[in-house]
Amino acid sequence: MLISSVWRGIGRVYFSVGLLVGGVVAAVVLSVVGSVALQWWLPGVQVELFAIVVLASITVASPLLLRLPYAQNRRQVPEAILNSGPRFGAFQFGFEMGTASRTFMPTTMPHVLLLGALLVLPIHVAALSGLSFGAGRALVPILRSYGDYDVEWTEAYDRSARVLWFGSVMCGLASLVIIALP
Amino acid sequence: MTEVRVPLHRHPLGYGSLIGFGLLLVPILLSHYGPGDAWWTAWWVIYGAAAGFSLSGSV
Repeated sequence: MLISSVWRGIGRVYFSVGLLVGGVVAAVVLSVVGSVALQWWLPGVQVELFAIVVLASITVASPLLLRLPYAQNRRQVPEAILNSGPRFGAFQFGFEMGTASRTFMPTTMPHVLLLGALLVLPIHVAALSGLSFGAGRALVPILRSYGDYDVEWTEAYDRSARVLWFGSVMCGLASLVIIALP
Repeated sequence: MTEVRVPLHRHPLGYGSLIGFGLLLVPILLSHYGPGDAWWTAWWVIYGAAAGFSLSGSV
């Protein structure tokens, strides 16, 4: 649980803004790089279908089904960053987390977003998806600042693990069936 | 350098995997029957939020 000063007072706002900005910057940079180096020679329709297959493949290899090593920078944002003050320090903390460049990855969903920005997304869509990425990432910490639900959530996850696993398998099979339909 | 020690957190949505699968169905369906780019944009925005949410318990 985040116990640093980014969740106190004005730091909370700057941290959340940092998450949003970090998400937008990372997605736009990837989209620009992709549009220069990759997207122009990939035919659009095939790329979207390819992206769907990649999305399905990566998401199938999620912690619920397989335990594979993920591409990730397994480093936490250093505490020393907070020495920059409650405003800039909190913003920088949020920015680095928002870019997902220095974090732990318990899921493959961000990798899918990365591939999407790189291969298929125009810049404005990448910016919007990066903004929503930052917002989604800020959601739980914001809720946590109003109450600590760690124990309850972990217990709820443990109770629902089998249902989640079954649901994932069924959705994956449904995806394959729909793809196979003419 | 000292680092903030934060345990990874598991939330009841199962690392976003189930959300990811559910969202996968949407573009697959839309690629067959959908009205076009606006839905793709909306899907990527929703997927971005879900991806961020799936990381919201980690540091």
